[in-house]
Amino acid sequence: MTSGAMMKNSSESAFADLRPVAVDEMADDAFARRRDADLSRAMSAAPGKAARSRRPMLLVAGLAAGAVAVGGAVVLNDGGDTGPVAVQGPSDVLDARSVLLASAQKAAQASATTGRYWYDRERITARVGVLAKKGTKNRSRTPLPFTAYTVHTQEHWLARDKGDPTRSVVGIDREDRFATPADKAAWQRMGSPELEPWSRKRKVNDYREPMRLTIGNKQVTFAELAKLPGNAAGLEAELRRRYTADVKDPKDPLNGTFAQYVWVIAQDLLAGPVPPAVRGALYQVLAKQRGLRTGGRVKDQQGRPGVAILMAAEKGSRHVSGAYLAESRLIVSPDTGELLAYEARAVGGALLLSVVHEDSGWTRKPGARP
Amino acid sequence: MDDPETRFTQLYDTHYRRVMAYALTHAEPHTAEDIVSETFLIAWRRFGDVGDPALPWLLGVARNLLHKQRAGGRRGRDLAERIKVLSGPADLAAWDVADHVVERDAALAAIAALPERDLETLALVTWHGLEPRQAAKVVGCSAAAFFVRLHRARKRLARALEAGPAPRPATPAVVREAAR
Repeated sequence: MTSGAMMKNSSESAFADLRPVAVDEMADDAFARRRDADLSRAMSAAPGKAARSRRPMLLVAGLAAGAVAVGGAVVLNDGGDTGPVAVQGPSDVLDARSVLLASAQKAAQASATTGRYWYDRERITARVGVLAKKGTKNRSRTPLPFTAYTVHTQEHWLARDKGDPTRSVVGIDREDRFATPADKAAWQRMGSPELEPWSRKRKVNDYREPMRLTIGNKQVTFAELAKLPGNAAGLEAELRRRYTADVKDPKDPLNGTFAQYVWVIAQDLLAGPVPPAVRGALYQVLAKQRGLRTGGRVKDQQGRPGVAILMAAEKGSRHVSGAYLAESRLIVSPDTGELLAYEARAVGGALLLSVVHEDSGWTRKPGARP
Repeated sequence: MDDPETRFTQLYDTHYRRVMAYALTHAEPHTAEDIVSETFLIAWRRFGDVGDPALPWLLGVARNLLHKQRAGGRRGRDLAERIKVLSGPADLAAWDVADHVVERDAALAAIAALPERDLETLALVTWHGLEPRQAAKVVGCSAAAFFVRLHRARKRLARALEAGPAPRPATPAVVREAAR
């Protein structure tokens, strides 16, 4: 060993020994004190998409979107103050396939643009599942004695190019809603606990690291999204190729059918940063999938009219509140080809989650709207 | 096992102490706790993004939060200062047992003169037990670039400890900024 190497080793071991032992004691102490509160605080928000289930999904990784639970919706009780009631038209002649094909046509007609940032604004209504309170009682899935929702708006500016920061703004116009006055009273009897601390106030987050989008288990760049085939046959072939690769991935094999895979991609990409032709093609690929039903003409949580396309949830899947999921729905406007909202509903029809796409498009810089 | 709450709780229980140890070497205890809390909140919201192994990802998030907090005006202490503050009699005793060439205080003064980035680089590898490749993820550079950084930091560390304490730079904030 040369004296230089020896010097390096002894100096590095000296550096290693400078680490104060108090660090470990303090970390242990903080762990004991903070664990319960940290866990409940975090899990009072909906988990990031990949945490929802092992189903395929496209997600915008890196967004502080608390929004994306698998949720279900609740039967909105019109005696309560939870917002508009979704009304199904039972005699509607609409079928899922024709709704999607009509949407495909309209979506493909939009003009293709691009920009440095993909902007979106979403109004999120989420059923409160657990409370961010000290103590473990509610975290362990003990049902809350009331049905409540938090409602807030999020805006995101996703940088298309490496090196540009990505911004998310959460907690805009936060409201609390209760299914019925009795639910509100039950909440008040508990001392009116905070329902969701992280969205209580408007908060701007700038992320330096690039935001990665994924299709299924694989990350994709904006450039790759822009290059997806703009025709149904080509897009389906590409998605099947990706699906097969994900299913065969030895490290993290994907569960779920191809229809589920497409469904989850549609949730994100139909209102996401893809060219109009790709959006149109995606509607067409979705239209070919089995197991979709229409829920007829409905209004989204902002009261905008559309048509609901439904997919049944996997049996036994549960929302963080403990409620069993019945189905998820896409509310589309066949007139414009827009995806208006994504909802998840519980067995019985109650709303668990609604993400209303209020606006989206390309912009030049964070803070600018299309 | 598939249950996200269970998986998240495991993530928290497995990594909390190490993320906290990292934060404590960059910020005061109260701030460090808040940073770690926020780090895990982000991990929950971005669960699909948490890498495997998770620690480099978590430290990367904590690091960004620490930087952001400094940019927000409340300037964080640098690493050497944190060591000084956190050091106690047990550290002195351990140092004596290890039989280093220099006194602990002298070593501390010597490393305080190094650029913050060198200390961070060395700390990720020697204190937080990361492979250089993983440490590169934390600081957001390529593995090759990190190896270069580490090599240089090791050289400067050896020189500093050999030469004894150097005077503190007059403008530490500028040094820190340049080192980023």
